[in-house]
Amino acid sequence: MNAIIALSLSGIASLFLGFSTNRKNLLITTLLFVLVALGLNLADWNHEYFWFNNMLKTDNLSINFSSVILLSTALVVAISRSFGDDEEHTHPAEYYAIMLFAAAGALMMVTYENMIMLFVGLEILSVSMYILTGSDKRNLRSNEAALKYFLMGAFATGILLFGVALVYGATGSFNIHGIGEVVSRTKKGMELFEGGVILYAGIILIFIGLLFKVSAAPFHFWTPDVYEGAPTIFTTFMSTVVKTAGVAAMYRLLSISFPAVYGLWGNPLVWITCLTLIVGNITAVYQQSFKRMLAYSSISHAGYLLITILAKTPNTNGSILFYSLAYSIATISAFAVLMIVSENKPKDGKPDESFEALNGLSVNNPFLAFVLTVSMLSLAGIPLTAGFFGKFFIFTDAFSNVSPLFKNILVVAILMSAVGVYYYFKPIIAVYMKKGEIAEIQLPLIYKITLIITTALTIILGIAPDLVKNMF
Amino acid sequence: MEITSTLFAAKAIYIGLIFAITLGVAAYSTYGERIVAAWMQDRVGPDRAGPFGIFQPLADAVKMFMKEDFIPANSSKWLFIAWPCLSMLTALLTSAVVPFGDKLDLGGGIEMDLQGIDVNIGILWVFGIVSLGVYGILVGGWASNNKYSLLGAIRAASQNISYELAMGLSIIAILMMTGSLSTKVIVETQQNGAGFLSWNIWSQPIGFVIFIVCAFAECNRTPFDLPECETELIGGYHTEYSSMKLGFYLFSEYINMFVSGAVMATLYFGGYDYPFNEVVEAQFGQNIAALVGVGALMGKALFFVFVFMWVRWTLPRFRYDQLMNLGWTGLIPISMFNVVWTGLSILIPTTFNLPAWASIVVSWSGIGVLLIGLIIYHGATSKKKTVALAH
Amino acid sequence: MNYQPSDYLPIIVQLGAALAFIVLTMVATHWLGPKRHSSKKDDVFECGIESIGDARTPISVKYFLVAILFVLFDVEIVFMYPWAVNFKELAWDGFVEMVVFMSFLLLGFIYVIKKGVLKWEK
Repeated sequence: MNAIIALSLSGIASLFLGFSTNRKNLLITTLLFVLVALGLNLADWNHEYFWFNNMLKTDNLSINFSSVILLSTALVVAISRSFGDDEEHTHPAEYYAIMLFAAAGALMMVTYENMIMLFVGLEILSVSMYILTGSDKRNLRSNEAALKYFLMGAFATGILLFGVALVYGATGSFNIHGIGEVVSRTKKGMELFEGGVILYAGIILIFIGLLFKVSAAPFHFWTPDVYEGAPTIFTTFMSTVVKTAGVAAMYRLLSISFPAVYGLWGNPLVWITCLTLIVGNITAVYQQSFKRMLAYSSISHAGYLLITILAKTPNTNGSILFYSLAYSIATISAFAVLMIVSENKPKDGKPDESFEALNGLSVNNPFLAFVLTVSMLSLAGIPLTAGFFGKFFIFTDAFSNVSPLFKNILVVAILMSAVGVYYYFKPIIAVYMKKGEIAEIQLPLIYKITLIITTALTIILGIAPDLVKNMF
Repeated sequence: MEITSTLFAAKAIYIGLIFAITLGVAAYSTYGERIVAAWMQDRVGPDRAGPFGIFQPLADAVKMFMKEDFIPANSSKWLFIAWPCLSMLTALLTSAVVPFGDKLDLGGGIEMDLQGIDVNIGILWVFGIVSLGVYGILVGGWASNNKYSLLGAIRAASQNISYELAMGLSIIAILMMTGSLSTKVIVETQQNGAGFLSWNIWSQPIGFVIFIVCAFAECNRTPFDLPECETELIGGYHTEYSSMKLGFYLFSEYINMFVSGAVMATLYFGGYDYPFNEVVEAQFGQNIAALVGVGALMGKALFFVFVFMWVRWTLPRFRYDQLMNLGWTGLIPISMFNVVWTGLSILIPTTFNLPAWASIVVSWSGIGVLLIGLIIYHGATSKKKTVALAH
Repeated sequence: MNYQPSDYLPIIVQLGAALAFIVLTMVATHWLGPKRHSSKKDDVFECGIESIGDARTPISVKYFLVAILFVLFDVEIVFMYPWAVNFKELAWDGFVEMVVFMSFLLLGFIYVIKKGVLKWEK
């Protein structure tokens, strides 16, 4: 994976660039680094390669996931201009470098062939995120969030590692294809082969580790606090890159290693998915803070993504990718608008992140209002946006799967989408209906371009989803 | 090698002997220290207890035993008692892997290595135990609940860990040459060939200098004795200690000196190897040759103990920032360079089929390269400084 | 050379001897010395000035940085031990790989120095 090497090297390079250049140049060079990595990533298209002594394997699916991750990273970097302008954050180079390292970890998580690499990638990603969460050093919220995230995340990773060990004990292999072979061979003839209990326990423990990362209920308790406490720019990164990587890692593991024992992990995953959908959507309704609402909405989207993993149809690859992409770009533009508006309108010296902060945005800033509206519609799944087709593909997948349990899940998911429409319209109402004073906000060029790209992508994918869907 | 009961008994006796020797050497190092100090400062030194004052260490020991076993009211009692013991324990355990001599023929076909344990982790054992010793000082100082002790303790801890890095790197160069972690094998590879010309010191001059500097720092000896810098910290980490608890701290320092001398002799000066040992072995038999070897190692180790004392009365103490700078920005890069250069000095002669001495030529040319590099670096930085000053 | 777990047996003897020596000494010195207590005497010694507060106070963060850096670099050095032992078999390939590894180590090191983490005068 040349992209991983490129990201690691460019991370080191940007550390050293921090000594000599200012943050504007840093932003541009970091963006360049990510785009170079994206190019290198796409260069492997249509080739199946094993890398680093069979530790990683790239195929078109993993390249697609990597592209989504790198695209999200690039967009996040592009809107990162305003973070750390004050004197308390005098280390912009470090933050960019850590973001690059985190992206490298995420790429490992979607291309791993060996369970060890899954663990290593997860650790690289997580440790970077712990640091970035706490990067607003003078803010108690941020510190609290970092500590919470670190303690819980460390436990989750430990549990995952234990699960890996148990799976290794049951199958005698770290290689995911090797595990899959052993599982499907020994499966024949008996439901629980020798070591089946160990395998089952191992899968469940790995689940816990990965579900924690994608913040699925009941492992979601850290999400609202951490998302709210972290600087908004890193919240964006967390809710897009980390989520995509986590879902991709889980999908890769379950679709390659354990399709033969679908019965073992399918049942718990159905319950977890239902719970995630319900908890995420219902709790989001009660939030006063826009940022916290987005945190709960990210939990609910984890639920939708889990449905695709469960569905197990030939279309699953496409729909899971389409959904990740649609969700990521919509979330990035929502957070971008939130970030720039809340920073412009401080309350008690801190950015105001409640819904009231958005009141009257449409009067002087119609562009921002439009961007926010499109992203909200997309997250809610209203037609003519990417989110609609994301949900559409997912529900189609779930519907074509004959298992009766999935019918229940479908009912829950559709009901919860309806609930989602309610809270996703709250910011839109605030923007257009409520009265408030927001002066015209001067948008830097790169910020404007990014928002235009995300909004345009959301609409284009909403009108012509086949453009991308067929690529996958 | 299977351990039989005879062999085990012999080993036990041997270990007891080494134990006694270590303690004896440590005790008489205190006497030696004072004699050397007196000699260098043109004084008389201890001369009351027995002829030339040779019973002085015994008198000191008795005094130590009879002192009050004082424990401050605010201290953490158990830590306060236990951690000097840990210091002593680690000091006493390091000598296990040092090969004091070659094989001894016990008759009946049983041969015994004059070495506590000959294991394939050898040098790692030394490292593991030595780095445990940091805890002895760190927790001991902290447990006293005295600000000076605390300062001394954290100074000692950060000094020890800083110099451990360079020490680890300098040993890597030795491992590359011998291809084994076992101290016995390290000595044996130095025995082959041309007497003392095949000792590692000839191919590892930079490594040896780094190692000895780090050994000074690890033993908290002058010029690195900041943890107990009297002018700043009263007694440093052992301010609150008295009786044999203090004795343990002081004693472990002397034992560490002796053991690090023995380790240096093993790694760089051929261990128990001595010139013409084949001749001695042919003439007087294996056992005599081995015992002479023990004498040779003792001689080398004691010489290093003397060097420790010599340096004490030659060099002034570092300032704390100088000490940390030397450790981090001086020794670590140099020892990294040493590792790379050692690799070259091993690979170049084998690839180009050069004779064995070529490797030594390459390693010594490393000193030249290093010096040139340092001069260039220094020139560049001092130019920068003068430019900065001019503005 | 074959190494066996039983090679470690003599270490038990040495450990036993060392522990016995230490315990005996501690017991003896406790038993031999006088014991006189007074409130002044049991205080900590700070050059005769009355001690204020506890010594369990926060200390300069530099020491923690040194400790963290030590852990980082020591782990990287430990990685080099197996390489060093097999250096002659690995020959040039191993050499080049380790030079790459070391240059990363060195880059991190230069970064730390440039960042001023080890500047004690500040």
